[in-house]
Amino acid sequence: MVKQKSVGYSGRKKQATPGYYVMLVFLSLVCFSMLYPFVNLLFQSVSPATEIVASHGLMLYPKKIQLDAYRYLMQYPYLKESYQNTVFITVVGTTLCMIMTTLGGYVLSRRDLPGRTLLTTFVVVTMFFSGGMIPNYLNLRNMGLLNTRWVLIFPMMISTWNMLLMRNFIMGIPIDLTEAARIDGANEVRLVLSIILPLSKPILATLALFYGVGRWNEYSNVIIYNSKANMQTLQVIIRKMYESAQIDMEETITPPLEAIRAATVIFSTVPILCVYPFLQKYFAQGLMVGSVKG
Amino acid sequence: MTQMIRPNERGFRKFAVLMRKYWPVYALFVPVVIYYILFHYKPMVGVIIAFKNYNFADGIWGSAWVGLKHFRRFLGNGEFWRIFKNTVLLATLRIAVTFPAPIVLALMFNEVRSYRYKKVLQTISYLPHFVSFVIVYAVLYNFFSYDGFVNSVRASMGMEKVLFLGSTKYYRGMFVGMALWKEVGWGAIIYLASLSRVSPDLYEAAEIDGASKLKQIWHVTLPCIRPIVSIQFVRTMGSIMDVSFDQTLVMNNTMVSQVADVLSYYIYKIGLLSSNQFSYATAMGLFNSAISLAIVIITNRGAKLIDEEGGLW
Repeated sequence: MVKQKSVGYSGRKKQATPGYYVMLVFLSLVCFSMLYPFVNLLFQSVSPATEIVASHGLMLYPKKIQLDAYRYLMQYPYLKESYQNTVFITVVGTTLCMIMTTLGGYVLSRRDLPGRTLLTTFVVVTMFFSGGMIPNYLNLRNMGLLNTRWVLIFPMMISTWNMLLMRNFIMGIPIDLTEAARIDGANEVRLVLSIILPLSKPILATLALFYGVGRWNEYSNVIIYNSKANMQTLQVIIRKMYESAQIDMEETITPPLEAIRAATVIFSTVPILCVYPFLQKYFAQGLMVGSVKG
Repeated sequence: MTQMIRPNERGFRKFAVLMRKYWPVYALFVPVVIYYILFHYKPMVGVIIAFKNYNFADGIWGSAWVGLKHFRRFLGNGEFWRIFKNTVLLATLRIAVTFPAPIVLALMFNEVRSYRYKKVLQTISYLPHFVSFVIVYAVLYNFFSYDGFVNSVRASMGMEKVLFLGSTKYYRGMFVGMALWKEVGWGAIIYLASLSRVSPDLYEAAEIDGASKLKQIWHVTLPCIRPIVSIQFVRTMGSIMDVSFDQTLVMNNTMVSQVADVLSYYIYKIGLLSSNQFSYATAMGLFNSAISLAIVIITNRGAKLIDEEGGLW
């Protein structure tokens, strides 16, 4: 794979027109609209009710800081269980996803493998045909997976699209490298572990993030498959908070509803915000190389 | 006879040699095959309940065949067609807005001269992609709920409050806007990557010929990214009939369901939520997948007609 150096407009010098600045302002506003709401929710989560109302719901900075909402959240019914479930399916689920996707992607990348076309067709067919919601539900029900954490892990172990990205990336690795290792007597497992994986870091990082975020954000499958109160995920709890006008007020003095809601959102968003700046440098590389048709 | 056996024997020996060489590779693929059979092919077989009266006692194989009864039932049902109309309308609106928007955004990003600033903007623009629709709804709620920012400002200016999230009038706008806000930045990434591969020589040549910025974009940039646009278009069309089940699940409520109910949601409602009409819901699901498959094939054919390299396959 020949890597072309990216040469953007930055390399060419030209006078900036007023139109350019209009565009720059527009872009800045668009991006501001994507960042500010999260900051606003953060401010709301630490503010008393009076401040939230006075600000019309949009805050430039928090005037008074109180952490009551977070304290209240800690005792919110089933929040602990949901959090544990979410962490479990994210950690275990992503690990299994990565193992399975790497296995599949590696095998399908072997150009010399007899029957490779057949195997590829076998997986690609599922991108175009699927059982649909009800047959899937009945299948998982028959397997006894409903109302367990595993139902949020097993059925999503491989995203066919991601596996094909993986395959395409591995196919871009120079064949000389793998041949050399094979002549040295490395077996398949050794080959994957010591040659393929270290060279596939960009795609591994990208896919781990995709899978991880998908598991962390799991919502609709929980609604479909898990009805038990202790088998929910964070997203379900958050959605419930926005459903009811009042969340069960057991104590007489509770923090404002807005702050509690905002606190839950922050609580579930922060982990994503923490990992993604570190992985984002791999996105473009991983996605581009992987998206070559073949 | 000997001539009949020999090629067979040779074939077998060849097979044995191949297996000796490749069995470790096939072995690595076994878990993948098991996964696909259990979670994809098995439910595919389960689709036959669309032609049966499924009940738990008799199971998939034991239930009685009823032919096309369920299909006739929903095709003759007014409610089904209302939902079908909702689906097509929302899907079309959504694609009309959310498909071109990332291309435009990518073209704009590509013009930003400061490399640093471009990176910062881009990084921020991916952000909403990584949060769930539940969180996006929370953000939307902050602005458009009955007590949200917009209404709060309206009230302070003496205007009437508007039920943005609970009225059929605003639902489609909210739906498309929410999808746009969430995915526009992420959608731009793939176009940006291919924009960076456009040779600068082409722009220089265009500039020497006196082409304006917009002319350069039209005659140089867009033709260069056409293949990727066509691939993305076929992919988008493939999911057109899904109309984001997640998003509908989050945004739907009794006040807006008249326009918000789409096929995927209706199947969930009929099959699992209100009544367990498994076979009936499966029949609708099958109808839905048949349509989306047809759309993908037609779009791909179209993309190929326009551009040899276009299309997904």
